[in-house]
Amino acid sequence: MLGLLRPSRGTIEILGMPPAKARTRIGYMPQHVQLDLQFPVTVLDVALMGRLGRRLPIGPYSRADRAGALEALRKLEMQDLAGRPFMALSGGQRQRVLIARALASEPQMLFLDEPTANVDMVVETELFELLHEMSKTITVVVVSHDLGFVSQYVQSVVCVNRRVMVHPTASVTGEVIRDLYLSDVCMVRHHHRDG
Amino acid sequence: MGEFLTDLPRYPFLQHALLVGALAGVACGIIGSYVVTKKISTIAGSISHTVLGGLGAARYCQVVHGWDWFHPLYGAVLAALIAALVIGLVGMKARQREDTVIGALWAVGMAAGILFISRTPGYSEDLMSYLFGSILMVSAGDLWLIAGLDLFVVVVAALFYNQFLAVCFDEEFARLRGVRVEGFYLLLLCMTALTVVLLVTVVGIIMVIAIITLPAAVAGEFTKRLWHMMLLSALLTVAFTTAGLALSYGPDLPAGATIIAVAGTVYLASVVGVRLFRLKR
Repeated sequence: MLGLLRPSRGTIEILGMPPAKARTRIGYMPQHVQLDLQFPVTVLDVALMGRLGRRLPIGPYSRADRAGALEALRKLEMQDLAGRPFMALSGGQRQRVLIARALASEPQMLFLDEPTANVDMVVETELFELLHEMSKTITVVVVSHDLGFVSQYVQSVVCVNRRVMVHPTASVTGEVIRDLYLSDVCMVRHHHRDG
Repeated sequence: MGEFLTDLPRYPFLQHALLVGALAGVACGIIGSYVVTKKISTIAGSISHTVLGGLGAARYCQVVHGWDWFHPLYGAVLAALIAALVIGLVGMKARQREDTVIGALWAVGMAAGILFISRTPGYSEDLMSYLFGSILMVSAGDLWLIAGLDLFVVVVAALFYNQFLAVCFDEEFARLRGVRVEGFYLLLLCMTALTVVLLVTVVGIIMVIAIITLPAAVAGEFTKRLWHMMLLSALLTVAFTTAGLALSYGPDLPAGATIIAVAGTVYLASVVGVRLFRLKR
């Protein structure tokens, strides 16, 4: 959908444009972030990269760019760490910074590919709460394999398994999930008993 | 050391050498930081060795065909740029072959240089001196060319700092933000090529790979932002070339090798020192 791969059939339009043109209006967070963790950048440096598509391709970042990047970091509660080296962060914090980077471009749509792939349960819940909050103002698209979990937070699910199906969330039941994955899903109750 | 200081005001060749070391140091600090963080030091090494081909070809044309304007340094610039573009384009089109091309250009550039030199009648010892550096033989004319290359590298690096940073840190994201990643990568390789030519005059073809990576690696131990790394790395390179010149002058040691020895010692000390300091805490 971002125009990185060419479709073998059909065409893709996003916001009424071909993907290569619409790209700069989309915030994107990739799944496998193969970043060099020795790279000398601060949290703010990374968030500022989100501003690249919005400015003259020459010279330093403007005051508005800095303000935009800091605002994006604030939304993810990372503004206090703006001066920290990116490599000194925990996995969950890094994930937040990358979402902030995507947000810093003030996108009309936000694409996230498996945003919770490398983080623990607590962080995962926090992230989805946050994305849910954001989805009130912009379109948020999340790619996830964890359907049951995600469905509490989203309005509609597009399932891709050779064919494409669109479901409103209310109808995502155990049955639909089973049809999709061709296997049964067991909900595991995970309540801890106290005392 | 004392001899160096007393002779410095008297001999222009010493002043030129000092100036070349400083000029090359600035470009080296900036580009070296990119080379280290983007991990393309073998590309820099390969470009450096193709420079001999350029030097040899230019001298051959000068002597045999009478192209007097074709200064060996022009040949060096041309060969380095061609090598950078070839490696860059092959890397983009066929990623798995990049390694092979780097190795091939490394050796073929060297071979072409040696063949041209062997076919050039007359005295060509000075070309061989480019292998190990010839900072004391820099003429006033060379100085202008070196200053021009230096200025170009610094200005381009400053203007497009944010783009280069984004391309080195996360290519895919930079592309999605509308940055012309391929163009900037090629530009970065071309600037690396120009810096390599600058450094060939200082430490010689064989030792370029050390002077381009060691100061940046030392700076990387102590800095957390790329431009801090560049600044510290540039200061270190200037300090290394100056110290190397001063130390080598009295006992008449080869200047290029002394510079590299200084850089290597400081690198080793900083790596070990930083680790020990962390252990103690």
